[in-house]
Amino acid sequence: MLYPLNADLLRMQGIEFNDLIRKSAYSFRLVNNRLTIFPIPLRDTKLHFEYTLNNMESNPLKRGRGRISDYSNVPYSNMVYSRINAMGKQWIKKYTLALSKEMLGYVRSKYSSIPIPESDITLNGDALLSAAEAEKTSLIEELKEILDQFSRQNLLERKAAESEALQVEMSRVPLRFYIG
Amino acid sequence: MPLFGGSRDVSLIRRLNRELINSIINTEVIVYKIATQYTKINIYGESSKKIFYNPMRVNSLITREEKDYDGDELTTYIRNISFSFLRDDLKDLNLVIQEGDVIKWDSEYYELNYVGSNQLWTGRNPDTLLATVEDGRDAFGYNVSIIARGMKITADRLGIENVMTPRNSIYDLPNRI
Repeated sequence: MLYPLNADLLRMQGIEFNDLIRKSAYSFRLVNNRLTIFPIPLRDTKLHFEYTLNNMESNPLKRGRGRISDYSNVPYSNMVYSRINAMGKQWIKKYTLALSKEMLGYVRSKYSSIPIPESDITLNGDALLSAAEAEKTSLIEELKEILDQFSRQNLLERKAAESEALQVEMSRVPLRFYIG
Repeated sequence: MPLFGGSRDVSLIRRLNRELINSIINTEVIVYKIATQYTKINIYGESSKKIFYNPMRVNSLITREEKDYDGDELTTYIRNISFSFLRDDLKDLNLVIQEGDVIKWDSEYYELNYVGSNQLWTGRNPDTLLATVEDGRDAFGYNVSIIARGMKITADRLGIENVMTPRNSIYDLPNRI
């Protein structure tokens, strides 16, 4: 499309006017912690600064109440043991037993053989360690499965399955005859 | 404090040994310790009658060899045996086993001809370790056992027990009354 030359000139003039009239034209300069504002304010006015502290500049985690950026600041606190239900307490007891086995295994496997008069014996430290490891893995898997069963997605899927089953059941109910 | 072989480790090993020897294996022997100051000897240092202190019961690990018949004699035989004691058990009883003492086990008497203590855990004896004894550093190592080896002897030679005389079962009186 062909425009006359004055059209370009008018557009340039419009941009310059826009900068001059609509924009504030205020500026500042910060040198050696000395702030210079231009133009010099002639009356009392509020000046707002938006700034970032140096020590926060390299920290990607934004901390503060009600602010969650990742797993590290999810507001989960330790559970009170007395408020845990019987199933949870049973799990804790089993895991405690596994941890005790593990600790005892470390104690008993510190020395490969224990001297007794004119001989030596071997303790079952390694067996305890492997048993404890297996029990811990099994308990963690069990906990994951239980928590997974009660996830929102699984609950919705179960509801959908119930609903479909109900529909199938209802479809087999004989319909009444209506005589108009 | 040393990382290995320190007092806490020694305590663990002592407890394991005591549980194993005194509660699980639990083979008791009777130790007759000879009273040398009351035993009269002749000019050759021999004694026809030995005097013993009251017998003491101690748990021990025992290794007994098979009978070895001497020549055509089938009534007498030689039998060697080895008793292994936990040294701390003997310390608790204040019992020092020496050569010449007699041990009874499984209805047989054995006169000891060797007593030694050479089983040092981590190769250190805390009673004589210079760093512990002279420099006052923490105890280190463990002297585990007392080993006593002996040979079977007949009871009538000792005078400890009267043989071939039935007990009075009604009154349970001692023999030869």
